[in-house]
Amino acid sequence: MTLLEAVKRAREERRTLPGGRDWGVGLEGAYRVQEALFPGPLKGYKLGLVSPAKQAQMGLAEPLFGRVHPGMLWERVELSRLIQPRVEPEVAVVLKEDLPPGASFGEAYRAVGGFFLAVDVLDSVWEGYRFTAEEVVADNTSGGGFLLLPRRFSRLPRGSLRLYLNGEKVAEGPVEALGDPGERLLWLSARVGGLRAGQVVFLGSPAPAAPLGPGVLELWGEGGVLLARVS
Amino acid sequence: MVEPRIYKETAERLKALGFPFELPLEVTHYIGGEFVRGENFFPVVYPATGEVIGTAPEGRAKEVEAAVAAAKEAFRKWSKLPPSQRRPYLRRFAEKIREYRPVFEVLETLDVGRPIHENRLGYVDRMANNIEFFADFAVTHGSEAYPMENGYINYVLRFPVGVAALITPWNMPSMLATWKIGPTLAFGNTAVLKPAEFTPLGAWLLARCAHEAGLPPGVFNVVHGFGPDSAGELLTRHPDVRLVSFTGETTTGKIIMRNASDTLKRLSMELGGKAPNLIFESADLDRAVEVTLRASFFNQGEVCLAGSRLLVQRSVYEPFLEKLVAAAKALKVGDPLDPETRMGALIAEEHLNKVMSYVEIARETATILTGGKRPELPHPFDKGYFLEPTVVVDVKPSDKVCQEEIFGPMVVVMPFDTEEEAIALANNTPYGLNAILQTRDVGQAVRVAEALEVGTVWINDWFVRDLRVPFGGAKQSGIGREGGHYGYEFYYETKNVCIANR
Repeated sequence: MTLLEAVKRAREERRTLPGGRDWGVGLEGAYRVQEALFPGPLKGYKLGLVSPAKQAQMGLAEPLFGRVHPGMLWERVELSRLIQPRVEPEVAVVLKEDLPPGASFGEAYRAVGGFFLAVDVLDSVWEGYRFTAEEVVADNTSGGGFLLLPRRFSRLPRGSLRLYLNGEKVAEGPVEALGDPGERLLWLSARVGGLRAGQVVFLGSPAPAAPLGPGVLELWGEGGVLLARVS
Repeated sequence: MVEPRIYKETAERLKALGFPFELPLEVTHYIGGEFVRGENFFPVVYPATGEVIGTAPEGRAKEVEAAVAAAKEAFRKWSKLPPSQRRPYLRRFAEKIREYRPVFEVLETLDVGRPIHENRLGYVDRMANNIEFFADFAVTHGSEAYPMENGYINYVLRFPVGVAALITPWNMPSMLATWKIGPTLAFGNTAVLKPAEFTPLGAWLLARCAHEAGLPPGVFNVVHGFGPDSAGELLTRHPDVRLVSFTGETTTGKIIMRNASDTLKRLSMELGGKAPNLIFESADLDRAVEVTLRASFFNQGEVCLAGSRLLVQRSVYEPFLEKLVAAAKALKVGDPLDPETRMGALIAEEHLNKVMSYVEIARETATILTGGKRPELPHPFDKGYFLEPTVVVDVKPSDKVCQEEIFGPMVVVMPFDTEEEAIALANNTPYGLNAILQTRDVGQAVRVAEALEVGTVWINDWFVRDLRVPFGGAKQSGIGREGGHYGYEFYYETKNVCIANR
């Protein structure tokens, strides 16, 4: 059983796998598995593991990225489609211009059409989210789906992101922890061979992921609120 | 016609929730199983922003006649059903309420201005339970028999009373509506609910729940409107309304009793309060502060049961006040839909003005330790009816602010030395709805609870409700009791049958 087959089958059967194994695949190999399992057309990308502390834990020196498909942008969350969902408060960027690899900092900022509050609904096949970097990359960085607040911020929202499930705070973290968006976009563009106008990039979460259950999910960021039903 | 005035922030937020209604909200009556648009609209205002988020129709003679007639017609069949056959309808009704939980949580905040946090502390579950509890109660309770020594046997039959007018206040609209709907329908009566004009939204959604639960047409009706010369008065005078359950102000209660006397209706009146909150030196002070904070400022203090008079034993007066003031200052006042908010807006501008008039009296004759002013909030909440939590000291028991129901986030504090003095102070108002005792001395708790002239005493807590126990007020706080078999007595008529054994 290869890594590709294991993830494919677990996703199809909606069950978990014990993680933390050596599949004889390096990180680049894992990205190839990701691409094979989650081919285009792409709506964009998500960044994971954006905090240096988390990267060090996984023995990495850079973030990870996953692929976002049009079907991964949701208006509500249906738990029956998910294996072991968790949620993170995020900020997303939508590009209004192409961003080729090797572009300048100024070009990266000019390419940004706006910032949006978002929720990343994670869904890992790896039991209890215990995995190696290769395992999580092959699993499309625990790709489940995303919720977006259709309200454009012209700059990065300030302050903290607060995520609530049924009025209980489940995650909170400062937007600053996401790092510089321009820098992130340039890194990603170099990694994936360029970004396109209209693509969305989720910049990662400033807070640890929280388990998801039924009810109402609320994300509060600077003056904006995203609400969604989870059933 | 009322012009809606809606901020895009509110609209966006509700849209994001998958809110099932379009803004501006068009509230309807619910009469004989139909949603009736009505006429003569009045505005529905969101107290936190002053926005006109919709309109509600004012029910007048035409609507009241139609609703009472529909309820009377439905009563013929509904009253004949055995309780076990009424129960499935009511269970579905309760289920629907739970299904609409997130919508109720938001609607109740739009209606009242209360923090949504408070609507999530089991509020909607309690609403559903209010209906289920009485549906079960009706099934599981029987009646009495009194055999006589000389060969006669008496047994007591119960039968539904008829059409009930349920008139509810604006502070806990959905909770109090279900308190009344539960026993009314479970015991075979039919209902016309007239919610307070400030808060039509909860009743409107309850009508939708009843409708989707498949309650037979006319069993439950909602007519919106005002009190005097409007739906409220017409209901309380209507000859076919046999029973009125009212929660609200004492002055309104007296008017309703006068209106109802010509047609000799059954009345249950849960009226105003000015509850004493007694803190004795043996109390656990930290817990006492936590309980006091809730009893003072829950729902912006707009609760008939609010512990609005703090009586504190002199030996702990200073440390208690210090802790209380610090806790009051730390309460987050503002956007009620933010889950972090702990105090929202008062119900309406005129009510805020009324509460502020008491604050002004306190400013002249007493000392305001904290609060007493409107908080500075960003748009759109700068237009809301907010008031900071307010604590007032240096008052005399006979002062207006110690005698009258303020119904806002303002409490008065008085020291006492002895238990006897505390009891005398506690009983020294025209009201007698409830009291709070905070003490760890069991004997004292028993003695004081016995000496207080009130309908409910909470010891070391507040606002705990068991539907089996009697609920209501003494003195000017009301007439009658509801809950458990007390409601059983009120919502059912009895008939004694006496049989001779020859």
